Amino acid sequence: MPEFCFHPDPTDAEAASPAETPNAALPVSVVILTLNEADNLPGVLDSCAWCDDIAVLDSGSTDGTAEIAEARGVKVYHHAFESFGKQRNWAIENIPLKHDWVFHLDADEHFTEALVDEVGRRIAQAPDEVAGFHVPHKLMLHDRWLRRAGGYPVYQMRLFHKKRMRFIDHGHGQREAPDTVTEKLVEPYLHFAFSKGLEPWLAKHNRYARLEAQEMVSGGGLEFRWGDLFSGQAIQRRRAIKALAYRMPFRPKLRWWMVVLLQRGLLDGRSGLTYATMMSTYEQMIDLHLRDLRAPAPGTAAGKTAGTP
Amino acid sequence: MTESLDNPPAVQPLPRHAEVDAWAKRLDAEALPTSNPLSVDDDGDWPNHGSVGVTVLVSTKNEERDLPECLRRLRWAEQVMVIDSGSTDATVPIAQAFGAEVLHFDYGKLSPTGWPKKRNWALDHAPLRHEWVLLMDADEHVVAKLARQIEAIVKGNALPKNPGGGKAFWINRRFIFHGRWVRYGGYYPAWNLRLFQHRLGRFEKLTQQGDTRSGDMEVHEHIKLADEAAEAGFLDHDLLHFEIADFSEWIEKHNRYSSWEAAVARTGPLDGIQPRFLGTPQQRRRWLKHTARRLPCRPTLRFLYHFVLRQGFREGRLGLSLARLLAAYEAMTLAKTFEPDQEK
Repeated sequence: MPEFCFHPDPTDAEAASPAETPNAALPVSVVILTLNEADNLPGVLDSCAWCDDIAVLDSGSTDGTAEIAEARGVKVYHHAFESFGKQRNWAIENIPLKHDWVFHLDADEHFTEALVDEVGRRIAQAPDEVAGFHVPHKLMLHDRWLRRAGGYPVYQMRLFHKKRMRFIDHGHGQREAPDTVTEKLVEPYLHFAFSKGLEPWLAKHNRYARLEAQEMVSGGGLEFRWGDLFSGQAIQRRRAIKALAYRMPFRPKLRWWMVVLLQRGLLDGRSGLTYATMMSTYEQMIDLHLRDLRAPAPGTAAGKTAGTP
Repeated sequence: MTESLDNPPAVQPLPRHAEVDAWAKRLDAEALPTSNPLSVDDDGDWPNHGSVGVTVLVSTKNEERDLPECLRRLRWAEQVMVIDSGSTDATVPIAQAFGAEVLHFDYGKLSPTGWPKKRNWALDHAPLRHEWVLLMDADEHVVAKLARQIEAIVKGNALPKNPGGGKAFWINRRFIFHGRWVRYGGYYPAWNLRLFQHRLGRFEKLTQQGDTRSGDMEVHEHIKLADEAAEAGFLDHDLLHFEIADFSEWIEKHNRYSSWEAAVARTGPLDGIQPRFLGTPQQRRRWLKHTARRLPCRPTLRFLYHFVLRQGFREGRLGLSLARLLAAYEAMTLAKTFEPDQEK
């Protein structure tokens, strides 16, 4: 297969098929955070067929998400959403799970068979001080894997021991509390980030952009230290790059070129370009929200026309 | 002057709301508008209440915040009709407190496919008492000199400097954002065909895609005139258009608009205005859009167009932010146009 291939890699199709074989009694519980995920839920639950303890933590869906889960025999818990960090912590502290090891999957994500195999092996071998595993994911734009544009592999803390792990909020996401011992998995899960279409993705990222901007204005988390750029840990390097990027002019455009050339998103074809455009738009949104926060618009009817009653 | 319409049945206005008197008192509905410092044309010398034979159509949905000032500045019109699509706030009693007739436009029943557009429907079915109509949005303010010019045209006393055929007129809008008039960056001039003899103009149909879910307005569609209207003229005074959203809301709006734009880009305009460089303002805008769509790096070009070519830099940081918003808008449209699996 030549490098300049604009068609899906045939191996993608295999990887994309959900895990089907029930892996007898893998001691792992799965927690799925949801808000109006009725469309995505059947797919993700199909990919969890191997698991004997699935819990859905819902934050007020009105589209029948909870009913769909219950109809399939999945336990549903409700907790109002504050932030991803708090929601994940709430799940750890309040949901009575059968197993100590927990995998947090989102509703637009799927397990693969290979990942489930690796999870079983790695938790069996893990030393006691290991609190969790960072797991890579394949970012999908509809049915295409954004292999290069998505910067594969990007890791998230998704598999962890419920007694050893706590999260703290960061931007619109979360990171693990400091001094936590972690390892990395090799096998990815599939992340269908655009499963609802581009408009809902943009609407969601408009909200994320607000949170990112608030985080920046309040000064948390984006302190830049040159040393971090050369850190041995990829995650720390990534954070340092992000902190540096926020100081760059023309950041949205830079982000586009970064995705297209530096990460070679061009090789992902039209989907790669579309993704670059989406990410660049997201960066624009963050900057516009920053302006909102730093120079608020005169917002009231009375404020807009002097003399309006 | 009462006219019988070509296609009755004319719909009846909503009955008087129970809270009308309370709102009239609270808003001091009889008071004259105070002049707006953003316009020197707002000199306080208004035509008499109800003295101008024109029907103003105001399109609304949940506009209790903006509607009072809009209507206060329309008291000179003999007939004001508020075309409301199911407001759940005080829009209806406020409108009636200012003496407006309120028509209910139910999108589900009257426009299940997104067509007809609300104002086309109103032009066809509302009991219009006058030949002349003025189209307004609730977030727009008429200024006194503009009202007097409309009075002169309707009464046949005088025409603007550039009168065209004298049966339809463009009105320029000033875009007021973050409390000030954004003059540079492509937001001005912004000519809209708003005043015409109602038999001669209807909104074009651009796509089957339904509307922009902007609640209400025909954001991108324009009025097409019948041949007998000849050329439209240009009024000498501007409308003030207030946008009091912050950027967050504005991104949200542009996210919806861009889905609509992408749908139009995929299918092409249905009954649209011909793109033409040397044509009316609409045709020229359409030409620009049409041509720009074929260029690479559209978001960057869009930014440069607004910030450099249209001198957005003269607005300072606000001009920069607006140019960046429009670049993001272009990017959203671009991404959505080529979204896989969406070719329905």
